[in-house]
Amino acid sequence: MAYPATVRAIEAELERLAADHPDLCTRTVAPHRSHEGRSISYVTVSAAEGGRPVFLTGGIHAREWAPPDALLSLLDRLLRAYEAGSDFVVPAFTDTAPARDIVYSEVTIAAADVKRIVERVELSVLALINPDGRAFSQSSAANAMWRKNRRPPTGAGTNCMGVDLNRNFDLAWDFERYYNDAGDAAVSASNDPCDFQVYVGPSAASEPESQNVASVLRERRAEFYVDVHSFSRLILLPWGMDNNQTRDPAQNFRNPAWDGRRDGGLGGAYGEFIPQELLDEHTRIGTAMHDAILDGAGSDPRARARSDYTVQPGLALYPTTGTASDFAASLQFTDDPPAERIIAYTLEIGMDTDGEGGFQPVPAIYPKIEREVHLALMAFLSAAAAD
Amino acid sequence: MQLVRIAGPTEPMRRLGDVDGLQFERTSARRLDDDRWQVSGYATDDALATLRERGLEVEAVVETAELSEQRSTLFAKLDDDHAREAQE
Repeated sequence: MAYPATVRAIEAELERLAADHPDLCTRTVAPHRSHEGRSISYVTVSAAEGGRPVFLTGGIHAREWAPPDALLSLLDRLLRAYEAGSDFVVPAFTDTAPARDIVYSEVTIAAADVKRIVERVELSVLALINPDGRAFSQSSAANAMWRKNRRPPTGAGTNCMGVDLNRNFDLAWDFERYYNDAGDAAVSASNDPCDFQVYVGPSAASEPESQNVASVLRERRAEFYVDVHSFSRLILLPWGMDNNQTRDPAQNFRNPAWDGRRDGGLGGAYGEFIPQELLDEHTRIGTAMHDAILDGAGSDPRARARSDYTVQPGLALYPTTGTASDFAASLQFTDDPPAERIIAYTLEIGMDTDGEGGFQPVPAIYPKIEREVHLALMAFLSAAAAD
Repeated sequence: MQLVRIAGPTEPMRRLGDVDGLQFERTSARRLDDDRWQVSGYATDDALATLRERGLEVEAVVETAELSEQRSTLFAKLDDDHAREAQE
């Protein structure tokens, strides 16, 4: 399957993986079709009962073309390595663009580690959350920047289509209630259906595509989750709604006493609570993902400089609500019965500079993006397979 | 359209969402100093004019012609795939 894959090619690849590895890989059709009627499926890789549930997703934003492809090639390499009893090999890559000629080293992950991952983890991968959006984004250069799904216009007075699925999850979705005026002005979310980027939708979890993700998170009781995006070379841990703090458990997204008083990280009294142990574990595993990408680059200092991701909380300049990864993390505080500890990240792959193409890297540089996804997620899977 | 980096003080940088023709990547925000930030995004000529009117600094990362060439490469492949799929 050559990058960038069409929607149909992605679905065909999921079918092929399940057909080629019937003892290991099961394809499941998600419960909700897209607005345009597309069936959405995911695969689960499991070699033994009782594996730790891990969930990986991509393609929630239509214009981010590399993540679904890289997730599928990760599955392909993992399954082939396991069945052959061989190492997982990330090939060397030379960036041959003029004036660069940068070499990224081959990386080998031992067969024993591959075996441990596949036999200790139950890995579900929904590579393309938003097929309608991707199909539209890939329909012409004029539509290439489309980000949302393709929900038809919602009600009278608007002809505007689409919801930002990564603002639609049921976590502080009603951001105007959640923040004060300053936070409301800063938040990366909108109630305007014509907002090209961050329309939150008509209600929390209104969209079939976000419902599919929530459904798999809950039904599989995922304890480890990564949503792969592009771009910015970031490994984002919870939370995106406000600054993290570890002192006051009462300052949390469930506490209505803080409604209308949160400022979204402007330095006010409120900070989103995250238990110290949970923050430490996110930092530890995020650092392992960072190190895997950086060490995998090899010794060329230019390759290393282009492989140096940053591990940080989701909040920087713009607070966000209703995102997939924060929603996944929130389930350990909201679900009934309570979920196990949940480790959740947004992985932002690639860069705007260095010829990496931002949302849409060209095929010549794609192997560099792909290897970073594979290295980061193999480190993540190793952490999930541990203890 | 160009791929650009935008820099400026916190307050106007927080209002980038209301610039028509700007598709910026929220997570690209990087703090430059106490009150200055940098963000990357795709901007039309009109959006570039708006950003400059607001006193923000704009630096081109990928110029219009190069971005167009990249899109041509990607859509040549996709158009072939779509044509083949239509015949299947």
